[in-house]
Amino acid sequence: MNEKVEARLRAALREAAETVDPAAVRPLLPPEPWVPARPPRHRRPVLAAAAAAAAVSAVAGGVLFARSAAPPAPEPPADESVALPYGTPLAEPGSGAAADVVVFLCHRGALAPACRDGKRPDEPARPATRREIDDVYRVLRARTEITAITFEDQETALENFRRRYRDNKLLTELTKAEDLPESFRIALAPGADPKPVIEAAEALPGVAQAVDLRCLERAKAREEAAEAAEARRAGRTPAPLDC
Amino acid sequence: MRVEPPATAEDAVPRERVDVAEIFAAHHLGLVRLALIMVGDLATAEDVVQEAFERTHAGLPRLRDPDKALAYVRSAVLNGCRSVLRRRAFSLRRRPPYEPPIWSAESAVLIGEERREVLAALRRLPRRQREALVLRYYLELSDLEIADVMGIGASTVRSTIARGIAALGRALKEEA
Repeated sequence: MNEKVEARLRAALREAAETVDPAAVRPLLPPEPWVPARPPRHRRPVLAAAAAAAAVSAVAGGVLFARSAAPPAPEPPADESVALPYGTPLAEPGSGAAADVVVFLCHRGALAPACRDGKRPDEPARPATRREIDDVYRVLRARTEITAITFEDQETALENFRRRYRDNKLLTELTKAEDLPESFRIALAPGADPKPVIEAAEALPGVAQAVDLRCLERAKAREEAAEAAEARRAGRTPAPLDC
Repeated sequence: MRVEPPATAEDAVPRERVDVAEIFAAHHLGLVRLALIMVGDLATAEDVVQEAFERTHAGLPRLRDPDKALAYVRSAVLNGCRSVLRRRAFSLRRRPPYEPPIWSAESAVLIGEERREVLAALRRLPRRQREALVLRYYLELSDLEIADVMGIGASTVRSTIARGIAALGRALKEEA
């Protein structure tokens, strides 16, 4: 009995193996130069930077807004203390409308010089205070070209981040809510220039960076077009999109 | 405990460093085929071997014994296959089951029905039995070589293979 099983197994394995055409096997690529692991102390700021950069590109990908709209909040009271959550939702979930500008606030992992007060990169940054966040909101609300503002807290940011990077298990497992910045997501009136809004936001204390998403999208589209053109020149078919 | 034999003149000369790239170049096709049998599709198999290559390269300083180098490289490939299978098992909870081409009906043109039946039965065996059977009946390795690759004892290899063959026979309803 065993001889027969062994013979069948041998034949099946050989046949499976021989489906590999030696001429068609993708050749090995030379490995990347090996970089020794950094000591753990330095890891957090690096990861936070990656997370922040990833958060920016996630927005550029247009995915973030599918569910970031909060339930409609009452108009903030006219007096000095503005209640969280801020603002009105940009759009109903899934309606496809996206923000034009994102104002990232300082958090402990922020790398922007505006948040660091001259500290070394391995020291935590100074997070934006509640008062600073309120001030940012008040300044943004006063601008006539802004049609909607949504506040995204760290939990929502993490939720969106996880959805965007669900294929990168390591990244989503290592990233915590506190690694991601809080942000205001802003929709502009059609045709409005985002530049003055960005400059006004970045001038405020507690703001790490303001980003023009339309511009990021244009840059991304141009990069992709250049890549495709290069691939065509080299006679390759352009790589399929990952989204 | 066994005492090491006294060093000969040959041993006194520092051994040549093992060139992992050379081993991979020489055995690339075989390693890809091994990975293919374990994971079931060529693209994943190629990825596994590429990643194993990069990992072994990173671990180069630890690899000095030329006799063990091939076993080490095969272990790395098997480890990569295990990770792939684990990841797939995990993602199965949310997605429809992934049918690698080697096991699915698509490969009917490449592999006959009878062979696919054997491969499917092999795939349902416990991980250790499956690996031991592939190393024995595909690579034709000895008990000792399999023990090296899998990091288990030679007697465990023997009993694992015996149990694996018996289980495979039962699954295939092979009569004496």
